[in-house]
Amino acid sequence: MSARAADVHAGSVESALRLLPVRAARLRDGTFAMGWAELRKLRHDHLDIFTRSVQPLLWLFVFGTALQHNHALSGGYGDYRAYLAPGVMAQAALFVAIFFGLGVIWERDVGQLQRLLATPLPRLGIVLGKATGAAIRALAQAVVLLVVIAIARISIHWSVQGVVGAVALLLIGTAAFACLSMILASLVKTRERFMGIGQLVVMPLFFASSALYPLAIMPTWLRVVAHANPLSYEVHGMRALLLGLPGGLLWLDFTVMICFLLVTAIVAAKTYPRAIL
Amino acid sequence: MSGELAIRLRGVVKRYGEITAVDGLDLDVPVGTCVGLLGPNGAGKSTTMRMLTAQAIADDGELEVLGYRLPQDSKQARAECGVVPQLDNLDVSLTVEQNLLVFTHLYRIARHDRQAAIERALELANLADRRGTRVDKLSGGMRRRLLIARALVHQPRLVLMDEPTVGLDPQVRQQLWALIDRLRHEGTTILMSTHYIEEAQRLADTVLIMSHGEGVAGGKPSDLVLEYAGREVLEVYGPPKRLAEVETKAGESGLKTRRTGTSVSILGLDGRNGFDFEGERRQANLEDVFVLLTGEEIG
Repeated sequence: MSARAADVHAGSVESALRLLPVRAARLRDGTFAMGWAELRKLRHDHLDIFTRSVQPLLWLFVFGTALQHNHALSGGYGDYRAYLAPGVMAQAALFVAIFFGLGVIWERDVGQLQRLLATPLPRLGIVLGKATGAAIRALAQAVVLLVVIAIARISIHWSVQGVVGAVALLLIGTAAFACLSMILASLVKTRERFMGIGQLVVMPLFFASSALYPLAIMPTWLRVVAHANPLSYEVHGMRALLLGLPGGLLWLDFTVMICFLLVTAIVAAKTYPRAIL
Repeated sequence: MSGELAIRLRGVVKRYGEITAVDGLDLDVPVGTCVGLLGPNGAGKSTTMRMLTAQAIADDGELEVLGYRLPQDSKQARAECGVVPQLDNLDVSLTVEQNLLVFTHLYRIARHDRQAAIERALELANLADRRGTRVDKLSGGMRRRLLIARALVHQPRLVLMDEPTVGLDPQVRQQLWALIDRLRHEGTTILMSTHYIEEAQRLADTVLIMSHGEGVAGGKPSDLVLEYAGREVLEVYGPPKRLAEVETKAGESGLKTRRTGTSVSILGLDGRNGFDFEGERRQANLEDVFVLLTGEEIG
Protein backbone atom coordinates (compact mmCIF):
# COMPACT_ATOMS: atom_id res chain seq x y z
CA MET A 1 0.00 0.00 0.00
CA SER A 2 1.41 3.36 -0.91
CA ALA A 3 1.97 6.02 1.71
CA ARG A 4 -0.64 8.22 0.14
CA ALA A 5 -3.21 5.49 0.18
CA ALA A 6 -2.51 4.84 3.84
CA ASP A 7 -3.06 8.49 4.59
CA VAL A 8 -6.44 8.42 3.00
CA HIS A 9 -7.45 5.65 5.35
CA ALA A 10 -6.06 7.40 8.40
CA GLY A 11 -8.59 10.07 9.28
CA SER A 12 -11.94 10.60 7.69
CA VAL A 13 -12.73 14.23 8.42
CA GLU A 14 -9.11 15.30 8.57
CA SER A 15 -8.22 13.68 5.29
CA ALA A 16 -11.41 14.94 3.69
CA LEU A 17 -10.37 18.46 4.64
CA ARG A 18 -6.84 17.95 3.45
CA LEU A 19 -8.09 16.61 0.15
CA LEU A 20 -10.37 19.57 -0.32
CA PRO A 21 -7.83 21.69 -2.23
CA VAL A 22 -7.03 18.71 -4.46
CA ARG A 23 -10.71 18.21 -5.12
CA ALA A 24 -11.23 21.88 -5.84
CA ALA A 25 -8.28 21.83 -8.24
CA ARG A 26 -9.64 18.71 -9.96
CA LEU A 27 -13.00 20.38 -10.28
CA ARG A 28 -11.43 23.51 -11.75
CA ASP A 29 -9.12 21.69 -14.18
CA GLY A 30 -11.78 19.24 -15.26
CA THR A 31 -14.39 21.89 -15.87
CA PHE A 32 -11.83 23.92 -17.77
CA ALA A 33 -10.77 20.98 -19.93
CA MET A 34 -14.34 20.10 -20.82
CA GLY A 35 -15.17 23.70 -21.58
CA TRP A 36 -12.08 23.90 -23.77
CA ALA A 37 -13.09 20.77 -25.67
CA GLU A 38 -16.57 22.22 -26.23
CA LEU A 39 -15.06 25.43 -27.53
CA ARG A 40 -12.93 23.43 -29.97
CA LYS A 41 -15.96 21.55 -31.18
CA LEU A 42 -17.84 24.77 -31.71
CA ARG A 43 -15.25 25.76 -34.28
CA HIS A 44 -16.52 22.98 -36.51
CA ASP A 45 -20.08 23.98 -35.91
CA HIS A 46 -20.57 27.35 -37.56
CA LEU A 47 -23.71 26.13 -39.24
CA ASP A 48 -25.18 25.12 -35.93
CA ILE A 49 -24.74 28.59 -34.48
CA PHE A 50 -26.23 30.11 -37.61
CA THR A 51 -29.29 27.87 -37.69
CA ARG A 52 -29.89 28.34 -34.00
CA SER A 53 -29.81 32.09 -34.48
CA VAL A 54 -32.61 32.07 -37.02
CA GLN A 55 -35.41 31.51 -34.56
CA PRO A 56 -34.52 34.35 -32.15
CA LEU A 57 -34.07 36.66 -35.13
CA LEU A 58 -37.56 35.77 -36.34
CA TRP A 59 -38.95 36.63 -32.93
CA LEU A 60 -37.04 39.86 -32.91
CA PHE A 61 -37.73 41.03 -36.44
CA VAL A 62 -41.14 39.53 -37.23
CA PHE A 63 -42.87 39.40 -33.88
CA GLY A 64 -40.98 42.41 -32.56
CA THR A 65 -41.53 44.55 -35.63
CA ALA A 66 -45.24 43.70 -35.81
CA LEU A 67 -45.72 44.92 -32.27
CA GLN A 68 -43.04 47.60 -32.44
CA HIS A 69 -45.29 50.45 -31.37
CA ASN A 70 -47.25 48.64 -28.71
CA HIS A 71 -46.35 50.52 -25.57
CA ALA A 72 -48.20 48.22 -23.19
CA LEU A 73 -46.03 45.31 -24.33
CA SER A 74 -42.80 47.23 -24.10
CA GLY A 75 -43.52 48.27 -20.55
CA GLY A 76 -43.19 51.93 -21.45
CA TYR A 77 -39.90 51.53 -23.28
CA GLY A 78 -39.98 53.26 -26.64
CA ASP A 79 -39.11 50.44 -29.01
CA TYR A 80 -40.64 47.01 -28.40
CA ARG A 81 -37.85 45.38 -30.39
CA ALA A 82 -35.30 46.75 -27.95
CA TYR A 83 -37.47 45.61 -25.05
CA LEU A 84 -37.79 42.19 -26.66
CA ALA A 85 -34.08 41.78 -27.49
CA PRO A 86 -32.85 40.62 -24.04
CA GLY A 87 -35.87 38.34 -23.74
CA VAL A 88 -35.13 36.74 -27.10
CA MET A 89 -31.45 36.32 -26.22
CA ALA A 90 -32.43 34.59 -23.00
CA GLN A 91 -35.00 32.46 -24.79
CA ALA A 92 -32.52 31.33 -27.44
CA ALA A 93 -30.05 30.37 -24.73
CA LEU A 94 -32.82 28.58 -22.83
CA PHE A 95 -33.51 26.41 -25.88
CA VAL A 96 -29.83 25.56 -26.20
CA ALA A 97 -29.66 24.69 -22.53
CA ILE A 98 -32.83 22.63 -22.20
CA PHE A 99 -32.16 20.56 -25.30
CA PHE A 100 -28.62 19.98 -24.11
CA GLY A 101 -30.03 16.97 -22.26
CA LEU A 102 -30.61 15.29 -25.62
CA GLY A 103 -26.93 15.38 -26.42
CA VAL A 104 -26.18 14.15 -22.95
CA ILE A 105 -28.40 11.11 -23.40
CA TRP A 106 -26.76 10.45 -26.75
CA GLU A 107 -23.35 10.61 -25.10
CA ARG A 108 -24.49 8.08 -22.55
CA ASP A 109 -25.69 5.80 -25.34
CA VAL A 110 -22.33 5.87 -27.14
CA GLY A 111 -20.29 5.52 -23.95
CA GLN A 112 -18.95 9.08 -23.75
CA LEU A 113 -20.12 9.52 -20.19
CA GLN A 114 -18.35 6.36 -19.09
CA ARG A 115 -15.11 7.85 -20.35
CA LEU A 116 -15.50 10.73 -17.94
CA LEU A 117 -16.67 8.60 -15.05
CA ALA A 118 -13.49 6.56 -15.22
CA THR A 119 -11.35 9.67 -14.72
CA PRO A 120 -10.78 11.26 -11.33
CA LEU A 121 -12.90 14.23 -12.36
CA PRO A 122 -15.51 14.83 -9.61
CA ARG A 123 -19.16 14.28 -10.57
CA LEU A 124 -19.81 17.96 -10.03
CA GLY A 125 -16.99 18.66 -12.49
CA ILE A 126 -18.67 16.55 -15.16
CA VAL A 127 -21.90 18.45 -14.66
CA LEU A 128 -20.25 21.87 -14.58
CA GLY A 129 -18.10 20.99 -17.58
CA LYS A 130 -21.20 20.07 -19.55
CA ALA A 131 -22.95 23.21 -18.35
CA THR A 132 -19.94 25.24 -19.46
CA GLY A 133 -20.32 23.68 -22.88
CA ALA A 134 -23.92 24.88 -23.05
CA ALA A 135 -22.89 28.33 -21.82
CA ILE A 136 -20.21 28.57 -24.51
CA ARG A 137 -22.79 27.81 -27.17
CA ALA A 138 -25.09 30.43 -25.68
CA LEU A 139 -22.20 32.91 -25.68
CA ALA A 140 -21.53 32.39 -29.38
CA GLN A 141 -25.20 32.85 -30.08
CA ALA A 142 -25.45 35.96 -27.90
CA VAL A 143 -22.55 37.53 -29.80
CA VAL A 144 -24.30 36.87 -33.11
CA LEU A 145 -27.54 38.38 -31.80
CA LEU A 146 -25.81 41.43 -30.33
CA VAL A 147 -24.05 42.07 -33.63
CA VAL A 148 -27.34 41.84 -35.53
CA ILE A 149 -29.02 44.14 -32.99
CA ALA A 150 -26.22 46.65 -33.43
CA ILE A 151 -26.40 46.48 -37.24
CA ALA A 152 -30.19 46.86 -37.20
CA ARG A 153 -29.76 49.90 -35.00
CA ILE A 154 -32.18 48.66 -32.40
CA SER A 155 -31.98 51.26 -29.69
CA ILE A 156 -30.13 49.46 -26.93
CA HIS A 157 -28.29 51.39 -24.28
CA TRP A 158 -24.76 50.26 -25.19
CA SER A 159 -22.16 50.22 -22.45
CA VAL A 160 -19.27 47.89 -21.76
CA GLN A 161 -20.40 47.01 -18.23
CA GLY A 162 -23.97 46.64 -19.42
CA VAL A 163 -23.10 44.14 -22.17
CA VAL A 164 -20.59 42.25 -20.02
CA GLY A 165 -23.03 42.07 -17.11
CA ALA A 166 -25.93 40.97 -19.30
CA VAL A 167 -23.85 38.30 -21.01
CA ALA A 168 -22.56 37.08 -17.62
CA LEU A 169 -26.13 36.75 -16.37
CA LEU A 170 -27.07 34.95 -19.56
CA LEU A 171 -24.21 32.47 -19.12
CA ILE A 172 -25.11 31.76 -15.49
CA GLY A 173 -28.71 31.20 -16.55
CA THR A 174 -27.76 28.94 -19.44
CA ALA A 175 -25.48 26.84 -17.26
CA ALA A 176 -28.28 26.50 -14.69
CA PHE A 177 -30.89 25.50 -17.26
CA ALA A 178 -28.39 23.03 -18.75
CA CYS A 179 -28.06 21.45 -15.30
CA LEU A 180 -31.86 21.32 -15.10
CA SER A 181 -31.82 19.59 -18.46
CA MET A 182 -29.33 17.02 -17.17
CA ILE A 183 -31.63 16.34 -14.22
CA LEU A 184 -34.49 15.78 -16.67
CA ALA A 185 -32.26 13.58 -18.81
CA SER A 186 -31.46 11.42 -15.81
CA LEU A 187 -35.18 11.02 -15.17
CA VAL A 188 -36.37 10.10 -18.65
CA LYS A 189 -33.26 8.32 -19.99
CA THR A 190 -34.39 7.95 -23.62
CA ARG A 191 -34.08 10.55 -26.35
CA GLU A 192 -37.65 10.12 -27.60
CA ARG A 193 -39.16 10.81 -24.21
CA PHE A 194 -36.78 13.66 -23.61
CA MET A 195 -38.06 15.47 -26.72
CA GLY A 196 -41.53 15.52 -25.20
CA ILE A 197 -40.38 16.55 -21.75
CA GLY A 198 -38.13 19.23 -23.19
CA GLN A 199 -41.04 20.81 -25.04
CA LEU A 200 -43.17 20.49 -21.94
CA VAL A 201 -40.63 22.41 -19.90
CA VAL A 202 -39.31 24.96 -22.30
CA MET A 203 -42.53 26.57 -23.52
CA PRO A 204 -44.09 27.24 -20.09
CA LEU A 205 -40.75 28.58 -18.86
CA PHE A 206 -40.69 30.93 -21.82
CA PHE A 207 -44.29 32.13 -21.72
CA ALA A 208 -44.53 32.36 -17.94
CA SER A 209 -41.65 34.78 -17.79
CA SER A 210 -41.07 38.40 -18.65
CA ALA A 211 -39.26 37.42 -21.89
CA LEU A 212 -42.03 38.63 -24.22
CA TYR A 213 -44.06 41.03 -22.08
CA PRO A 214 -43.71 42.83 -18.76
CA LEU A 215 -44.93 41.23 -15.58
CA ALA A 216 -47.21 44.24 -15.05
CA ILE A 217 -49.63 43.28 -17.81
CA MET A 218 -49.96 39.66 -16.71
CA PRO A 219 -53.00 38.33 -14.84
CA THR A 220 -52.23 37.76 -11.19
CA TRP A 221 -51.86 33.97 -11.36
CA LEU A 222 -49.40 34.20 -14.23
CA ARG A 223 -47.48 36.93 -12.45
CA VAL A 224 -47.12 34.64 -9.43
CA VAL A 225 -45.81 31.87 -11.65
CA ALA A 226 -43.47 34.26 -13.45
CA HIS A 227 -42.06 35.39 -10.12
CA ALA A 228 -41.13 31.81 -9.35
CA ASN A 229 -39.55 31.38 -12.78
CA PRO A 230 -35.78 31.94 -12.83
CA LEU A 231 -35.97 33.01 -16.46
CA SER A 232 -37.86 36.16 -15.34
CA TYR A 233 -34.91 37.18 -13.18
CA GLU A 234 -32.45 36.45 -15.96
CA VAL A 235 -34.44 38.56 -18.43
CA HIS A 236 -35.07 41.30 -15.91
CA GLY A 237 -31.40 41.62 -15.11
CA MET A 238 -30.40 41.62 -18.76
CA ARG A 239 -32.97 44.26 -19.54
CA ALA A 240 -31.79 46.44 -16.70
CA LEU A 241 -28.22 46.15 -17.97
CA LEU A 242 -28.88 46.49 -21.70
CA LEU A 243 -31.69 49.02 -21.69
CA GLY A 244 -30.90 50.92 -18.52
CA LEU A 245 -34.46 50.30 -17.36
CA PRO A 246 -35.09 51.39 -13.81
CA GLY A 247 -37.00 49.34 -11.27
CA GLY A 248 -36.27 45.99 -9.69
CA LEU A 249 -33.13 44.88 -8.02
CA LEU A 250 -30.16 43.85 -10.14
CA TRP A 251 -28.39 42.16 -7.23
CA LEU A 252 -31.51 40.08 -6.65
CA ASP A 253 -31.44 38.90 -10.27
CA PHE A 254 -27.84 37.78 -9.93
CA THR A 255 -28.44 36.18 -6.55
CA VAL A 256 -31.45 34.23 -7.78
CA MET A 257 -29.59 32.98 -10.86
CA ILE A 258 -26.45 32.00 -8.96
CA CYS A 259 -28.50 30.15 -6.35
CA PHE A 260 -30.49 28.47 -9.11
CA LEU A 261 -27.23 27.35 -10.72
CA LEU A 262 -25.84 26.01 -7.45
CA VAL A 263 -28.97 24.04 -6.66
CA THR A 264 -29.40 22.55 -10.14
CA ALA A 265 -25.68 21.73 -10.40
CA ILE A 266 -25.61 19.94 -7.06
CA VAL A 267 -28.81 18.01 -7.79
CA ALA A 268 -27.56 17.15 -11.28
CA ALA A 269 -24.23 15.95 -9.86
CA LYS A 270 -26.18 13.60 -7.59
CA THR A 271 -28.73 12.31 -10.07
CA TYR A 272 -27.19 12.51 -13.49
CA PRO A 273 -24.06 10.33 -13.53
CA ARG A 274 -25.66 7.52 -11.54
CA ALA A 275 -29.09 7.61 -13.05
CA ILE A 276 -27.88 7.66 -16.59
CA LEU A 277 -25.56 4.67 -16.47
CA MET B 1 -1.08 -5.93 4.07
CA SER B 2 -1.69 -6.01 0.37
CA GLY B 3 1.69 -4.52 -0.44
CA GLU B 4 2.29 -6.49 -3.56
CA LEU B 5 -1.23 -6.36 -4.91
CA ALA B 6 -2.46 -3.71 -7.31
CA ILE B 7 -5.98 -5.09 -7.14
CA ARG B 8 -7.50 -7.15 -4.38
CA LEU B 9 -11.12 -8.29 -4.50
CA ARG B 10 -12.73 -10.43 -1.83
CA GLY B 11 -16.24 -11.82 -1.99
CA VAL B 12 -17.45 -9.13 -4.36
CA VAL B 13 -21.13 -9.27 -5.25
CA LYS B 14 -23.05 -7.15 -7.72
CA ARG B 15 -26.73 -7.60 -8.40
CA TYR B 16 -28.89 -5.96 -11.02
CA GLY B 17 -32.41 -6.59 -9.81
CA GLU B 18 -32.97 -10.32 -9.98
CA ILE B 19 -29.72 -11.00 -11.78
CA THR B 20 -26.51 -11.55 -9.86
CA ALA B 21 -23.86 -10.45 -12.32
CA VAL B 22 -20.90 -11.00 -10.01
CA ASP B 23 -21.28 -13.54 -7.25
CA GLY B 24 -18.59 -13.65 -4.59
CA LEU B 25 -15.57 -12.93 -6.76
CA ASP B 26 -12.02 -13.05 -5.40
CA LEU B 27 -9.29 -11.60 -7.57
CA ASP B 28 -5.64 -10.71 -6.99
CA VAL B 29 -3.57 -8.70 -9.41
CA PRO B 30 0.05 -8.55 -8.22
CA VAL B 31 2.02 -5.42 -9.05
CA GLY B 32 3.93 -5.66 -12.30
CA THR B 33 1.94 -8.50 -13.80
CA CYS B 34 -0.65 -8.79 -16.51
CA VAL B 35 -3.76 -10.63 -15.42
CA GLY B 36 -6.39 -11.77 -17.87
CA LEU B 37 -10.01 -12.02 -16.87
CA LEU B 38 -11.35 -14.70 -19.14
CA GLY B 39 -14.92 -15.78 -19.55
CA PRO B 40 -17.79 -16.10 -21.98
CA ASN B 41 -20.20 -13.25 -22.57
CA GLY B 42 -22.28 -12.64 -19.50
CA ALA B 43 -19.76 -14.18 -17.09
CA GLY B 44 -19.43 -10.91 -15.19
CA LYS B 45 -16.16 -9.58 -16.65
CA SER B 46 -17.54 -6.23 -17.72
CA THR B 47 -19.41 -5.77 -14.46
CA THR B 48 -16.15 -6.44 -12.61
CA MET B 49 -14.41 -3.84 -14.76
CA ARG B 50 -17.21 -1.37 -14.12
CA MET B 51 -16.88 -1.81 -10.38
CA LEU B 52 -13.14 -1.22 -10.60
CA THR B 53 -13.69 2.02 -12.52
CA ALA B 54 -16.46 3.25 -10.22
CA GLN B 55 -19.19 2.97 -12.81
CA ALA B 56 -20.93 0.48 -10.59
CA ILE B 57 -20.88 0.03 -6.83
CA ALA B 58 -20.57 -3.46 -5.39
CA ASP B 59 -23.43 -4.70 -3.22
CA ASP B 60 -21.09 -6.68 -1.04
CA GLY B 61 -17.43 -7.59 -0.56
CA GLU B 62 -14.12 -5.75 -0.40
CA LEU B 63 -12.47 -3.97 -3.29
CA GLU B 64 -9.02 -2.49 -3.09
CA VAL B 65 -7.25 -0.79 -5.99
CA LEU B 66 -3.66 0.40 -5.55
CA GLY B 67 -4.25 0.30 -1.81
CA TYR B 68 -7.36 2.48 -1.98
CA ARG B 69 -10.67 1.10 -0.86
CA LEU B 70 -13.57 1.35 -3.23
CA PRO B 71 -15.94 3.03 -3.43
CA GLN B 72 -14.83 5.40 -0.61
CA ASP B 73 -11.50 6.39 -2.13
CA SER B 74 -12.32 5.63 -5.72
CA LYS B 75 -11.33 9.09 -6.89
CA GLN B 76 -7.74 8.60 -5.68
CA ALA B 77 -7.69 5.18 -7.26
CA ARG B 78 -9.02 6.50 -10.54
CA ALA B 79 -6.38 9.21 -10.59
CA GLU B 80 -3.67 6.54 -10.66
CA CYS B 81 -5.41 4.13 -13.04
CA GLY B 82 -5.72 4.19 -16.79
CA VAL B 83 -8.87 2.80 -18.31
CA VAL B 84 -9.26 1.44 -21.83
CA PRO B 85 -13.00 1.05 -22.33
CA GLN B 86 -14.69 -1.57 -24.42
CA LEU B 87 -16.57 1.07 -26.37
CA ASP B 88 -14.65 3.57 -28.42
CA ASN B 89 -15.56 6.84 -26.72
CA LEU B 90 -13.02 9.20 -28.21
CA ASP B 91 -14.09 12.73 -28.92
CA VAL B 92 -14.52 12.40 -32.68
CA SER B 93 -14.61 16.10 -33.45
CA LEU B 94 -11.25 16.73 -31.79
CA THR B 95 -7.84 15.81 -33.19
CA VAL B 96 -5.65 13.03 -31.87
CA GLU B 97 -3.52 15.48 -29.93
CA GLN B 98 -6.51 17.40 -28.57
CA ASN B 99 -8.05 14.19 -27.24
CA LEU B 100 -4.85 13.54 -25.33
CA LEU B 101 -4.63 17.14 -24.17
CA VAL B 102 -8.10 17.00 -22.59
CA PHE B 103 -7.01 13.95 -20.65
CA THR B 104 -3.81 15.59 -19.43
CA HIS B 105 -6.12 18.16 -17.86
CA LEU B 106 -8.56 15.65 -16.46
CA TYR B 107 -5.66 13.78 -14.86
CA ARG B 108 -4.06 17.04 -13.74
CA ILE B 109 -0.66 16.65 -15.32
CA ALA B 110 1.39 19.73 -14.48
CA ARG B 111 1.51 22.30 -17.26
CA HIS B 112 5.22 21.90 -18.05
CA ASP B 113 4.87 18.10 -18.26
CA ARG B 114 1.82 18.05 -20.50
CA GLN B 115 3.53 18.22 -23.86
CA ALA B 116 6.05 15.54 -22.91
CA ALA B 117 3.23 13.29 -21.71
CA ILE B 118 1.39 13.74 -24.98
CA GLU B 119 4.53 13.04 -27.02
CA ARG B 120 5.22 9.88 -25.05
CA ALA B 121 1.68 8.62 -25.56
CA LEU B 122 1.77 9.46 -29.26
CA GLU B 123 5.05 7.65 -29.69
CA LEU B 124 3.83 4.61 -27.78
CA ALA B 125 0.72 4.31 -29.92
CA ASN B 126 2.72 5.13 -33.06
CA LEU B 127 0.45 8.05 -33.85
CA ALA B 128 2.97 10.90 -33.85
CA ASP B 129 2.42 11.62 -37.54
CA ARG B 130 -1.35 11.70 -37.02
CA ARG B 131 -1.41 14.18 -34.20
CA GLY B 132 -3.34 16.79 -36.14
CA THR B 133 -5.89 14.39 -37.64
CA ARG B 134 -9.45 14.54 -36.44
CA VAL B 135 -10.49 11.29 -34.81
CA ASP B 136 -13.36 10.67 -37.24
CA LYS B 137 -10.77 10.53 -40.02
CA LEU B 138 -8.75 7.75 -38.36
CA SER B 139 -8.95 4.05 -39.19
CA GLY B 140 -10.41 1.64 -36.66
CA GLY B 141 -6.98 0.39 -35.62
CA MET B 142 -5.64 3.89 -35.07
CA ARG B 143 -8.64 4.78 -32.97
CA ARG B 144 -8.05 1.75 -30.78
CA ARG B 145 -4.39 2.67 -30.37
CA LEU B 146 -5.38 6.19 -29.46
CA LEU B 147 -7.82 4.84 -26.92
CA ILE B 148 -4.94 2.99 -25.28
CA ALA B 149 -2.62 5.99 -25.57
CA ARG B 150 -5.24 8.15 -23.89
CA ALA B 151 -5.40 5.75 -20.96
CA LEU B 152 -1.61 5.95 -20.61
CA VAL B 153 -1.10 9.67 -20.90
CA HIS B 154 -0.70 10.15 -17.13
CA GLN B 155 1.59 7.11 -16.75
CA PRO B 156 -0.79 5.14 -14.59
CA ARG B 157 0.50 2.44 -12.25
CA LEU B 158 -2.38 0.21 -13.24
CA VAL B 159 -4.15 -0.12 -16.58
CA LEU B 160 -7.61 -1.64 -16.85
CA MET B 161 -8.53 -2.89 -20.30
CA ASP B 162 -12.03 -4.06 -21.02
CA GLU B 163 -11.98 -6.30 -24.10
CA PRO B 164 -9.27 -4.22 -25.76
CA THR B 165 -9.40 -5.98 -29.12
CA VAL B 166 -13.04 -6.94 -29.43
CA GLY B 167 -14.36 -6.71 -32.98
CA LEU B 168 -11.03 -5.94 -34.65
CA ASP B 169 -9.42 -7.66 -37.59
CA PRO B 170 -6.38 -9.90 -36.95
CA GLN B 171 -3.79 -7.38 -38.14
CA VAL B 172 -5.06 -4.67 -35.83
CA ARG B 173 -5.35 -7.13 -32.99
CA GLN B 174 -1.72 -8.08 -33.44
CA GLN B 175 -0.65 -4.43 -33.41
CA LEU B 176 -2.47 -4.00 -30.12
CA TRP B 177 -0.96 -7.13 -28.67
CA ALA B 178 2.49 -5.78 -29.45
CA LEU B 179 1.56 -2.54 -27.73
CA ILE B 180 0.18 -4.27 -24.65
CA ASP B 181 3.19 -6.59 -24.53
CA ARG B 182 5.47 -3.57 -24.55
CA LEU B 183 3.64 -2.07 -21.60
CA ARG B 184 3.94 -5.35 -19.76
CA HIS B 185 7.68 -5.41 -20.30
CA GLU B 186 7.93 -1.85 -19.06
CA GLY B 187 6.44 -3.06 -15.78
CA THR B 188 2.94 -1.62 -15.98
CA THR B 189 0.38 -3.64 -14.08
CA ILE B 190 -2.46 -4.65 -16.36
CA LEU B 191 -5.86 -6.19 -15.78
CA MET B 192 -7.44 -7.16 -19.05
CA SER B 193 -10.81 -8.74 -19.63
CA THR B 194 -11.23 -10.73 -22.78
CA HIS B 195 -13.08 -13.60 -24.27
CA TYR B 196 -10.34 -14.29 -26.79
CA ILE B 197 -8.42 -17.20 -25.40
CA GLU B 198 -5.41 -16.62 -27.59
CA GLU B 199 -5.17 -13.08 -26.29
CA ALA B 200 -5.10 -14.23 -22.69
CA GLN B 201 -2.63 -16.99 -23.46
CA ARG B 202 -0.23 -14.64 -25.21
CA LEU B 203 -0.41 -11.65 -22.94
CA ALA B 204 -1.41 -12.68 -19.46
CA ASP B 205 0.96 -13.90 -16.76
CA THR B 206 -2.00 -15.33 -14.94
CA VAL B 207 -5.62 -15.70 -15.89
CA LEU B 208 -8.81 -15.98 -13.91
CA ILE B 209 -11.55 -17.88 -15.69
CA MET B 210 -15.00 -16.55 -14.81
CA SER B 211 -18.32 -18.23 -15.20
CA HIS B 212 -21.70 -17.04 -13.94
CA GLY B 213 -20.15 -14.26 -11.90
CA GLU B 214 -17.62 -16.43 -10.11
CA GLY B 215 -13.97 -17.20 -10.59
CA VAL B 216 -13.82 -20.90 -11.43
CA ALA B 217 -10.07 -21.30 -11.89
CA GLY B 218 -7.02 -19.10 -11.74
CA GLY B 219 -3.31 -19.35 -12.34
CA LYS B 220 -0.69 -19.42 -15.06
CA PRO B 221 -2.18 -20.45 -18.40
CA SER B 222 0.27 -23.37 -18.72
CA ASP B 223 -0.50 -24.61 -15.19
CA LEU B 224 -4.22 -24.41 -15.82
CA VAL B 225 -3.88 -26.40 -19.01
CA LEU B 226 -1.85 -29.06 -17.25
CA GLU B 227 -4.24 -29.24 -14.33
CA TYR B 228 -7.51 -29.40 -16.22
CA ALA B 229 -6.71 -30.71 -19.67
CA GLY B 230 -3.43 -32.54 -19.22
CA ARG B 231 -0.76 -32.58 -21.88
CA GLU B 232 -2.43 -34.33 -24.70
CA VAL B 233 -5.87 -34.29 -26.17
CA LEU B 234 -7.46 -36.66 -28.64
CA GLU B 235 -9.81 -34.97 -31.01
CA VAL B 236 -12.36 -37.31 -32.57
CA TYR B 237 -14.41 -36.32 -35.59
CA GLY B 238 -17.62 -37.95 -36.70
CA PRO B 239 -21.36 -37.66 -37.03
CA PRO B 240 -23.27 -36.47 -33.94
CA LYS B 241 -24.28 -40.00 -32.95
CA ARG B 242 -20.69 -41.19 -33.01
CA LEU B 243 -19.60 -38.20 -30.96
CA ALA B 244 -22.17 -38.99 -28.28
CA GLU B 245 -20.82 -42.55 -28.14
CA VAL B 246 -17.28 -41.29 -27.74
CA GLU B 247 -18.35 -39.03 -24.90
CA THR B 248 -20.04 -41.87 -23.05
CA LYS B 249 -17.08 -44.20 -23.44
CA ALA B 250 -14.58 -41.61 -22.37
CA GLY B 251 -16.76 -40.77 -19.40
CA GLU B 252 -16.79 -44.42 -18.37
CA SER B 253 -12.99 -44.46 -18.40
CA GLY B 254 -12.98 -41.41 -16.15
CA LEU B 255 -11.80 -38.99 -18.82
CA LYS B 256 -13.14 -35.52 -19.35
CA THR B 257 -14.42 -34.47 -22.76
CA ARG B 258 -15.49 -31.29 -24.39
CA ARG B 259 -17.23 -30.52 -27.63
CA THR B 260 -15.29 -28.62 -30.22
CA GLY B 261 -18.12 -27.84 -32.58
CA THR B 262 -17.65 -30.62 -35.11
CA SER B 263 -15.64 -32.93 -32.89
CA VAL B 264 -15.21 -34.20 -29.36
CA SER B 265 -11.95 -33.65 -27.53
CA ILE B 266 -10.92 -36.19 -24.94
CA LEU B 267 -8.82 -34.37 -22.41
CA GLY B 268 -5.91 -35.49 -20.26
CA LEU B 269 -4.88 -38.39 -22.44
CA ASP B 270 -1.21 -37.97 -21.66
CA GLY B 271 0.19 -40.98 -23.46
CA ARG B 272 -2.54 -43.35 -22.39
CA ASN B 273 -3.61 -45.77 -25.03
CA GLY B 274 -6.23 -48.41 -25.31
CA PHE B 275 -8.90 -46.43 -27.05
CA ASP B 276 -10.30 -47.63 -30.28
CA PHE B 277 -11.13 -44.10 -31.36
CA GLU B 278 -9.63 -42.73 -34.49
CA GLY B 279 -8.64 -39.17 -33.96
CA GLU B 280 -6.00 -36.52 -33.97
CA ARG B 281 -3.70 -36.20 -31.04
CA ARG B 282 -2.82 -32.65 -30.23
CA GLN B 283 -1.46 -30.56 -27.38
CA ALA B 284 -3.93 -29.46 -24.77
CA ASN B 285 -4.58 -25.73 -24.75
CA LEU B 286 -6.30 -23.04 -22.74
CA GLU B 287 -9.39 -23.26 -24.88
CA ASP B 288 -9.92 -26.81 -23.64
CA VAL B 289 -9.82 -25.53 -20.08
CA PHE B 290 -12.05 -22.61 -20.89
CA VAL B 291 -14.80 -24.67 -22.49
CA LEU B 292 -14.53 -27.39 -19.87
CA LEU B 293 -14.97 -24.93 -17.04
CA THR B 294 -17.40 -22.43 -18.46
CA GLY B 295 -19.66 -24.92 -20.21
CA GLU B 296 -20.38 -25.46 -23.84
CA GLU B 297 -23.63 -23.62 -23.99
CA ILE B 298 -23.50 -19.94 -23.42
CA GLY B 299 -26.47 -18.66 -21.55
